[in-house]
Amino acid sequence: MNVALATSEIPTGRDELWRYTPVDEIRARIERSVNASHIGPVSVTRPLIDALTGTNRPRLVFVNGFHAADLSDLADLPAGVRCGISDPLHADDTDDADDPVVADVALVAIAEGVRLDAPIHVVHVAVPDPLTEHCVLSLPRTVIEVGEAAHLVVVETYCGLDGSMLPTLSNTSTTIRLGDRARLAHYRVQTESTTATHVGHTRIEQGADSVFQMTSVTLGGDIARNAVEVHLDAAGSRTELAGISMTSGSQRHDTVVTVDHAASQCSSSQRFAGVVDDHGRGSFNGEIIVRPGTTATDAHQSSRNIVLDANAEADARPWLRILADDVRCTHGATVGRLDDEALHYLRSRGIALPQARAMLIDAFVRDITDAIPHDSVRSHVAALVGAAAAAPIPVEPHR
Amino acid sequence: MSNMIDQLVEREYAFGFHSDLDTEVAPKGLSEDVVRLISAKKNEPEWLLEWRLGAFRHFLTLEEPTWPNLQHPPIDYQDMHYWAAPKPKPQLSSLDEVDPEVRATFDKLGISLDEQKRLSGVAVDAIFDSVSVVTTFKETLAEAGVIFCSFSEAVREHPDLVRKYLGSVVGYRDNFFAALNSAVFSDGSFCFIPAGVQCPMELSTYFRINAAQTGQFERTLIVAEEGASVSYLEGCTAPMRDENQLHAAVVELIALDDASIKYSTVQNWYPGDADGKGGIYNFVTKRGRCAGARSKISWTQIETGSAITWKYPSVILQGDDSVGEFYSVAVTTNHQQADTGTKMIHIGRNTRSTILSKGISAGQAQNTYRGLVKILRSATGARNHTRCDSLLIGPTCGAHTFPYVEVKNDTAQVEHEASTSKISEDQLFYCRQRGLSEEDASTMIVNGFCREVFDELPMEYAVEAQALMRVSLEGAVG
Repeated sequence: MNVALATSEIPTGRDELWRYTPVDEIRARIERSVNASHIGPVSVTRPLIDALTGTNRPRLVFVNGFHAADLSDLADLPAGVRCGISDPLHADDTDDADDPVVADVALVAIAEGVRLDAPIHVVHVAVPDPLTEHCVLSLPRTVIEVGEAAHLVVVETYCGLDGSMLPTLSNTSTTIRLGDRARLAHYRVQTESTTATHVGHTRIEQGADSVFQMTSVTLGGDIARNAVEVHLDAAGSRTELAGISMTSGSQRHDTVVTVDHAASQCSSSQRFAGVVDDHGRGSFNGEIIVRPGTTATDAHQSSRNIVLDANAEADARPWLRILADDVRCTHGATVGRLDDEALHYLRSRGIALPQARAMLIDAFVRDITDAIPHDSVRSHVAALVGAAAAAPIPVEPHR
Repeated sequence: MSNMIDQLVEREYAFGFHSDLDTEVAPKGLSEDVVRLISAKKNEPEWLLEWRLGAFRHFLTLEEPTWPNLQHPPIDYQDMHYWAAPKPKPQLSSLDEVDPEVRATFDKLGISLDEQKRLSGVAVDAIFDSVSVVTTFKETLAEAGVIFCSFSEAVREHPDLVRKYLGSVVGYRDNFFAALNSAVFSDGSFCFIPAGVQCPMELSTYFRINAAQTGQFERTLIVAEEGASVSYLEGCTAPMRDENQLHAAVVELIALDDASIKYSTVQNWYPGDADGKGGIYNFVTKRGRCAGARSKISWTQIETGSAITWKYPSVILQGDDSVGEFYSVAVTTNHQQADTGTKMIHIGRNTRSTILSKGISAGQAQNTYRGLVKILRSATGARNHTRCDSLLIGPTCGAHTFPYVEVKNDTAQVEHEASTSKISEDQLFYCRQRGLSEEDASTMIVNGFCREVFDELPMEYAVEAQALMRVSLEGAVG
């Protein structure tokens, strides 16, 4: 049994924010898992990381939550940018030196007023234990701090070994703090293996007049949860969240987004697209909270989903909790399928069904991928999504 | 002197009158004996007593739900009377035989039975406390073959029908309040439209809550056989009362092949005073089952009263090509709380549903829309469109939208949209510069906001609803 989790309470399916997540299954997997700090050394090579995430630099690499200095590449960082590890994470959150270390904390910090346009990459690899074949539990932790009026781009990648049939379980936590007038573009790409369990949590705290943009791409994992929690505690801040989730096989993906408007003159938008195929199941849990006493709030949320197979399931739970009257809040949620006419049009032009489907799926998520301003990230994400859309389809023809 | 004081007190209650009927009341508290007493009082057959007892035993295993977005002091279910009836009177043959005081109460509410009978052509089944006092227009309906009577009478006269359908949509295992209702339900309405019959008139029931500290547990059952259709109206008012009163009703609708049922409600019970003291707790389970192919069930509700409203009129779309509709306006002011919405469960092929909800919140009120659209694996070609809008009046109220969309079929098409805002400054300015007062302008905008739902109401209610809106929001705007 795992030390770090034994003392904390695991949510249940009755907790509203965990409604669609298979909590009992995750709990069972945690109970069967071994802490990453207890397994022998695993071998991960530079070429392997390059193959998984590209050759982008600067790069900070962690294997099962522990910093891998030999795989990281932090040469030529501009002045004012700090990139490395912070205090390690202990088993029971105290700084008692006797506690076993369960993970290193990744830290990316940029000083006041510094602007860096090139993305910094933080890579977390979940690697199974080939000796015991037990599920390996890791606790990757990332902290991103953007100083006053600084500009930063961070790409956070969670990946596993391609084709691995051994289980891993990542329980990730990312904390992001933006100073006043700071600006952060944050990408979260999750492509762990289809035997992996991924429970991700990202918390964002924004300073006054700051801008936070996040695009998340969830493709991997058997059970994968992507929870994002934005706290708008200072006036004038803006948050733009977007995300794509695609399932196949029996994957279960949950996206959980909470935007808490606790200050005035803040705006937020959410655009999420879900594609469920095969026996997959995808859910979107969104919540906008507008606290009492706030004014001039502008908050929007949209969740679009397509169901591609008779055995797939899509769920949406777009909530609004509004406690002030000077607001403009909207939300929309749709669940549908690929447009029959569009499919027919493409096929009548001689395009085979799999390609036609892939084109339409790609088009469905295109407004999110196209909006990514950083060229290298955009092409990387587009390639990942394109490959997922072109995945082999079930034999049964589309009705 | 004490006489004078009494008179003064009486005057205070001018709008919250409470008629002094000689009420027969069961002792406070809930027990198997009370359930047996209710059943015995009503001369019920053995099977119904057994059903009540089954419900009561199940109720004991349940806990009051805490998930609604509502706040109220705990309810002591042992501190209530579960049975109150005007003393048994000889069978009535005409309206003249009705207790004059009961008649006077209805006059104050503006629903004189005579007038109703003569002018509006609407059959009225007036429920006074828990026992039906009089049912009019029965003969006209009987000619068409429609059965419209009190629930007790239906148990006596049509036991097979009641037994067949009672609990078939809302079983006593459904939820806490449904179990409570099933154990102690007092009376209600029963309506049966035989195959191929279009009900010749709008049916309506006026519910009244009268005796102090008496929870009302109404049970309504409407069955429309193949090809039948009916429109049912329910309107509610209640006298002013300081103690909270619990109302846990159950309404079951069943539509067979090609049948259609339209159920409209205007609910204007006592909402408590401006400080949130008193008022009715309205915890209702309403559900319809489109059992047959091409059947249709439509719910329309205007909720302006009650301290707390907790209800989700739902439709189970079982028959192929069946249709479910939900149109709602919920207004909360002062300290009122509403957690209301609907559930559309799509089971049959090509089933369609529409949800249109308008919530208005003012003062310190909290207004919640909670809805579920569920498309099961079998519901090929299912379609849903949901729209819920909320309007906020004043900085201290709240409007919440809690929808759930669950789709298990790849041919389904589900759309949900919602918005929350305050009354547009531009619209207000436009109306003001045309010479309307701020209050008139606001009322006009609010009525426009609700228009699409009002249009679904039967004519006589549409007018009443607009007037109600103005009264409810008095002082809240401007």
